[in-house]
Amino acid sequence: MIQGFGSLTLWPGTPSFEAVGRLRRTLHGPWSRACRSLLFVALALAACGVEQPPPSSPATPAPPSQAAAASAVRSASAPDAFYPGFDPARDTLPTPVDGGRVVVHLLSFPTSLNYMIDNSSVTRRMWNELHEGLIRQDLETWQYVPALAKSWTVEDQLVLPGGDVKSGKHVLTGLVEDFGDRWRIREAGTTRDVAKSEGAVLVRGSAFRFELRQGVKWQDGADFDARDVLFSLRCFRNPHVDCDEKRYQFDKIVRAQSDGPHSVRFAFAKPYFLAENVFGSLTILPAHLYDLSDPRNPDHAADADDERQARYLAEHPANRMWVGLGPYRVAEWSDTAIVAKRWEGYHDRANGGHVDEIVWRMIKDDGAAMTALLEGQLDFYDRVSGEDYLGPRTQSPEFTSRFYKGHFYAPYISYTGWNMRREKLSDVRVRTALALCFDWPAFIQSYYKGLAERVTGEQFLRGPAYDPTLQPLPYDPDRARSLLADADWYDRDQDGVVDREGVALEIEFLYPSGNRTSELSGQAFQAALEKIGVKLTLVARDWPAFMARVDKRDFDAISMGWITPPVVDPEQAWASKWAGADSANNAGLSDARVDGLIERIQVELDPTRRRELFAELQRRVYELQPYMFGVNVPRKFAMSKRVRNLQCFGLDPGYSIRRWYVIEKP
Amino acid sequence: MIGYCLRRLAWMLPTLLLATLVAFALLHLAPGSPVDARGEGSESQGIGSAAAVERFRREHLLDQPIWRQYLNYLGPFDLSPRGHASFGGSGERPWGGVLCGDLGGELLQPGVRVGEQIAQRLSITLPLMAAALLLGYAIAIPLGVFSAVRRGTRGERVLSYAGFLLYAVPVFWAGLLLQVAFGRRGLDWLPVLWPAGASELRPVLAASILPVVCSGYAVAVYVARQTRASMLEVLGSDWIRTLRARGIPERTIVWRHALRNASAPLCVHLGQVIPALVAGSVLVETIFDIPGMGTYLYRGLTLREYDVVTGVVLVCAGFACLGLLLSDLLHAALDPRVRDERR
Repeated sequence: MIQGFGSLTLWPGTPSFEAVGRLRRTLHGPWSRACRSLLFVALALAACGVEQPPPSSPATPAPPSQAAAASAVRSASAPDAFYPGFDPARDTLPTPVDGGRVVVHLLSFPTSLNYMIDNSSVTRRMWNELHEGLIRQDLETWQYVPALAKSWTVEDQLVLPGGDVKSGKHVLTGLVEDFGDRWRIREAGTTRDVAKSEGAVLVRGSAFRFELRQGVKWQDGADFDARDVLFSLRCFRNPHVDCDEKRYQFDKIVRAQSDGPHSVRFAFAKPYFLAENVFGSLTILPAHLYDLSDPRNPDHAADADDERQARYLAEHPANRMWVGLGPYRVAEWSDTAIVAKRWEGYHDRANGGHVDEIVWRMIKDDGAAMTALLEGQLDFYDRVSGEDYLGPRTQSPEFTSRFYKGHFYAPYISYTGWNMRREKLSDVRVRTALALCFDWPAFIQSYYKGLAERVTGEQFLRGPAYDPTLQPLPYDPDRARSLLADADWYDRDQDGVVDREGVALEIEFLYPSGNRTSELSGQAFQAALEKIGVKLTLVARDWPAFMARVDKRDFDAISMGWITPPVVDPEQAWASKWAGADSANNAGLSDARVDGLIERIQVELDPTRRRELFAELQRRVYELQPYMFGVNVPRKFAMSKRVRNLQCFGLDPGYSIRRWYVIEKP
Repeated sequence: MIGYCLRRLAWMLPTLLLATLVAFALLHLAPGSPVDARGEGSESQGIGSAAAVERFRREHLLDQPIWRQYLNYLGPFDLSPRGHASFGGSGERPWGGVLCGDLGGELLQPGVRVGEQIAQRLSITLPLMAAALLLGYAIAIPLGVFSAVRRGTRGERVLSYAGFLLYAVPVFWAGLLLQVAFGRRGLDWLPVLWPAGASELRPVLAASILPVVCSGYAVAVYVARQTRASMLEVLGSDWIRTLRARGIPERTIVWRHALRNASAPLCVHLGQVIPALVAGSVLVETIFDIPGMGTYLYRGLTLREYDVVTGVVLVCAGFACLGLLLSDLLHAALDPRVRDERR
């Protein structure tokens, strides 16, 4: 769920009365009447010392369903919801005007605009405007909706005796009805009955048929068709293409074929709960430019092997000057800016955006970016520091006359990962003791000024896979001492540091240099651990050196963060098969129960049962404490008043430039 | 003189090679590698599979000893898996390296050539540097002359103190002060950042003023001190006293005779100022967000782009060498004794 400032008090972890009062006084946000009313009710209750219940149930709030989460998103992402003085419930949104340009801040530039080989979140942000997939997630409801595919059908597979789902031999694909003693399968207008006694195996919901839109053009004028889709899938499965972080999803697809230029079919070996995500994230490349075996390609080479194809793909000039299917086309790429201009050939003009030009301006330093905003060289900046957000810099009349500000929650978590391979951190009692020592409520108040919420799992805390009933560990240094003693860690030599078998409990806290949040949380953690006799040493390394140590698993504790989709497949993070040196399971968690839950989640197509499994997994992982889970921090933004209709959503990046439009005077 | 120039140019080659060797070695000795830098901003924390990492390292020779990597960088044989067949490559790309005029490619952006990028950025950095140099000298010489001629007066003392003060101000702080003073938060006279995506000259020129001032003031202060010292030495010499005794006007003595003799050491300083300007461009370009050589070097360092850093260092070293040669030639042009020595 996305929330404006007014709904802050609706969730557990309510800021103190003083903090809320200070925020109320200082913020010049988009206060609707409803939000104000809610805030005043919350203030009154907080003043009376009454803790605010979560919206569903005071005692044990139920996990938000997909529908509930979507409903919350709808209310918080109302048109122009953040614009000062504008109440979406009361006022009428001005008629959008086309034209003008907006300048949006980016912290870094991608190495390539080919999202297949560049896995950065900045590429994905730009892709929202530059390209399109087969299907896309609706920003408000998170449901998949048609994009390049005008429709799709989920089908079943009936594997006949002697059949093989991988080759498709003796496999019937279609909609299967169960008639007790037999199955009836409808496929391409034909119907066939198969007796269950024959020994066929039914694989429900494991095949997908997509009907592609006709008349869609690439930005260089070529036609888009099934060849592009199948070529893209081939690339993902080409082991030489540098897309390993995504390949595992596409390796689950066992068959792909076209039934004509505008129809494609895919089959999985077994049901997969994130199958739609797989198709949503299928990066479609223009085969006529990238496919060496395509006769339309000027560099056509029919005999090119996988390795040559992969190299061609990696070095293609279109990776920078992207030729896509979206409403904007890259016009310029310099060291500081990527400029995209409206492409008139976009197939869905109604959703093709209002501004004529989007400039993504790369400013690596946050201070310089804030300066650029104030100087009028940025229209949108979503990394406003807490100090600036609540401080005088964004309260001056000079600021408020030209900008407005607000914050929203997007899927992001911070965490401290423990290296469970290290002997001293292999004991869950030690890891739990360390987690009990950090005073999160105090840190959230002092550093985040109340604008952060604790998390107990890797899933988005507003998403359907997160269980908000799981309470985070309290701040309890006494229990921490006791747990350490249970694990045989106590101060034998009276030097202030607990020890065991002659070795003191000293932990190195590794973080990327320049990351102020990691540095300050590390310092707070250091002071907290000192009280229970654990020595924490802070070590900052620049990003390459930091990642070199993470890759080699050469760390005790690392400070990191995750940007995720609303629901993430937990396999890479927690499955023991990824506990080696080459996956995101950098903590090295290896637990049979966790593995079993992950496998069950992946094939469970029923959302209710899947939510229960996710909750069970979250509890188990939290019990094992591979991470000290941190917080979900809202993105604090400032926007020029010349741009209207900023809406914020629960999908990264949390906004859609296509909905913005420029007015000459605020 | 031509022979002298050729000799100096020939000596530049080992200097440049040494510069590339030092840069290459230092960068490889630093912790981290481009493999690790690939993950910055990545959604999956940048951890590719072991096979992908291995492939990346093999393709870019990162799995080879450093001397082999350096020889590949130098050329003329390409030692990569696609390189010269005599060295185990496929023969697809037999030649390459600095000796072939190729400064290599970016590791993280396949297909992007470092040489082209440097040339593109030089078109921004060079005019800015030249403008800063001109501005610096244009301010410094009159100030230095004034300080020498009016030595001991109140005006000269004020100028000296101001000069010391400015000399002590770090460039990055001066840049920030200029931004505050002349940007929207101050007088609102000038843009404080490079215009993104601007194709017209006017906004680019406007955005150049503050960076040029920021780079130029340090040159001005330094050169003014040197001018003052040289002028004082010359003005105290016997032949100046002789000129005065002959009744030649003071203005003519100062500007025509004394300054010409005092300017020879200033030319020597030109050889020091140019490399300093190049080095300072990293800070100035970062502060004012200019897509020049300085920001390119900074990016290369943070991402461990070996070819980028080595390429920029090579070009900067080339500028330093050329600056020294230029200062020597100017010195010789101004001082016949030096010219005679070098024949």
